[in-house]
Amino acid sequence: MISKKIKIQSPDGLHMQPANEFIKLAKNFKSEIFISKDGKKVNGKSLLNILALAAGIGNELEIIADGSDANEAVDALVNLIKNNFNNKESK
Amino acid sequence: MKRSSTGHNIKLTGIAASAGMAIGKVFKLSGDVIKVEERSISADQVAQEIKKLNKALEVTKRELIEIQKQAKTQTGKEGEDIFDAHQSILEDQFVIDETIEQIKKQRKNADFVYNQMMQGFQDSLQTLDDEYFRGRVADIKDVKRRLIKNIQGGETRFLNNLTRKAVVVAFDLTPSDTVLLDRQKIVAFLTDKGGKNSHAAIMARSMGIPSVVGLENITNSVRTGDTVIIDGINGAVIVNPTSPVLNKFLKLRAEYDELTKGLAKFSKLPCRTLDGKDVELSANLDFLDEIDSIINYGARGVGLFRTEYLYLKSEKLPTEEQEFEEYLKTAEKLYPHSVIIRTLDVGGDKTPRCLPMPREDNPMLGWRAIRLCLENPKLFKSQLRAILRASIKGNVKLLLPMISSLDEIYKAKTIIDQVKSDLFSQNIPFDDKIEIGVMIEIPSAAIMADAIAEEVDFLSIGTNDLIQYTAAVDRTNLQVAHLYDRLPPSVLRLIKNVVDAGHRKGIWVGMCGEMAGDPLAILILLGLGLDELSVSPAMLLEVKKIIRMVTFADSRKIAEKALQMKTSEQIERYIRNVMSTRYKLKIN
Repeated sequence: MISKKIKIQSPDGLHMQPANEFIKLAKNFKSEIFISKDGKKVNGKSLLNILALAAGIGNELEIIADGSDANEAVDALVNLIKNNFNNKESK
Repeated sequence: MKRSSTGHNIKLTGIAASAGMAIGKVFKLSGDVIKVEERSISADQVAQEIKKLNKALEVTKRELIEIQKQAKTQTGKEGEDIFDAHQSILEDQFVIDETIEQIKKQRKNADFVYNQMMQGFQDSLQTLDDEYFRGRVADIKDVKRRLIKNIQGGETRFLNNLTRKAVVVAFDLTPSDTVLLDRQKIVAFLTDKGGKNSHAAIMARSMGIPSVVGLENITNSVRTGDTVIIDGINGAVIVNPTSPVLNKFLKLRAEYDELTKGLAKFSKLPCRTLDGKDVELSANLDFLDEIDSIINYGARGVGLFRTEYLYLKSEKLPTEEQEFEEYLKTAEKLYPHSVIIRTLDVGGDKTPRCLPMPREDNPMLGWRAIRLCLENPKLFKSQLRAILRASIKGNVKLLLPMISSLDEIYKAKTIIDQVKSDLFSQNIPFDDKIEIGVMIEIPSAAIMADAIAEEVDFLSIGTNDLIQYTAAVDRTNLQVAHLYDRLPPSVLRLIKNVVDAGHRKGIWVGMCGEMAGDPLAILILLGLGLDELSVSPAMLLEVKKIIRMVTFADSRKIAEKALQMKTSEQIERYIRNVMSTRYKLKIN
């Protein structure tokens, strides 16, 4: 199991569109993916669960992956958040 | 997308379902009032429920892709992204897996379990401080509503009441919805779903109000209170127009009004061709309160009185007395003209609450209309008694819907005879010579018209169903609605067969379907020799205008020629050409 912490910098945080980008990327990996915020851990391939986290700017997230491609998964997903979702944040 | 306000001059296009120009305030029927019943299921029904869920997921996905396309052209990338996210909500594997798990565990119906799941997410978002995330409840509800509707395969009921004049905006309108609405207050109908022949469209045409259907996404594009302009001729809607746009519209509307006023002079004139052939022009009636406008428009009676509204509007079955009063009032108001009362035609897409129906895989091919009545003699007899009792003045005719075989006619006539002899022995007056006719709307009946004509007093062709059943096209299904032709040669041949068969046996043949009021069809129908046309009130004057400017002799030649053509398109082109070159008439 691999995990990394990251602080959200983009103003929209995990709004619906960025969260959608996140799960679409997560689904490319075989590993199980989780996001944890304030001790609450949810399925990282489920848009509804991520929305329910209501993660905004300044929140610290932990990206967790468990499986054969866990390393790549965590790197890619952390990068997505770091790069502000490829600037695809909602307006 | 922020949803705090709707923008200006947002243009949406859909299917022009009923002509006319209107402006008004939006009243959105809350389509999210979905009824989800909790039902326990047996172990061997579990697989069935899961199958229903999976099928609904597929259908909903297709719908969302369509909407996404439309959203893209309207609002660009932003709209596209929202519906991309909606698809992700729909396909949330966590939710789907959990729903399937819970169906197995709780042994409950799929829509109930799914609703429960989604409600959980709605509840947790609802309690958040962040306004943005709270706002996403609307997205969840929207997806949920679509999926549940598709699981149930039926209709969503709207229980709202209009308090003032409004443009009714809805995901879809079902017959029972429109019955529950106060019709005096409806300015126009706008719906996400539906085609030219869906219920909202037919309804709007009969009410003479504009309607645009198949807008895909109007329910998400407007809010109650927004101002909308409706162009029911071109199928366009503009939300919150600015003054230049509004002024342009008002000018167009004035021109349109001018044009329609020109028709008013026809109301008192006979419906007669230039060479003196009279056609009985009557109106279709859905509600008693339409009678005055029908008489004003110069109809000679009612060619089709749909009695379903009596059954759709209430939780309880109407009593014989209630029906009798309604029919008697109608007959008295129309006297000396006649009214053709059609017995109950529910089932298919019309399911009254007072009459529970089994769930069917193919309701349009299922237990409806006469099939249901013959198996429910008590229900059928009560309506027949009411109709017969209302016939004392001799201006009532009886019409049986959805006849597919002679056997049904024999059975129905046996029951009618029983009712007559009951009334007779109870000394209750009625018209013993009441004419009994059948609807020809199923291909098997159209083919057997000669044999059927020996058993009845008249035939009335219902084209909506006849086209639908001949071409095997569900006219409310957007995927195939384009296959539902306007003047299909196959159906024209069937109509010819029915008219000729009726005339050979010496009975009259009428038509009460949508085609009877289609300006493009009039010349052909006249030429085929139909004795009566029953049309929606809004089309009365236009139909009469066309009949008065042509000769029967010409129409016979035109019909003969049209009947030799191979496609609906060819026929439409030919008729358009004839109408514009010979009669200087342009038809949409």
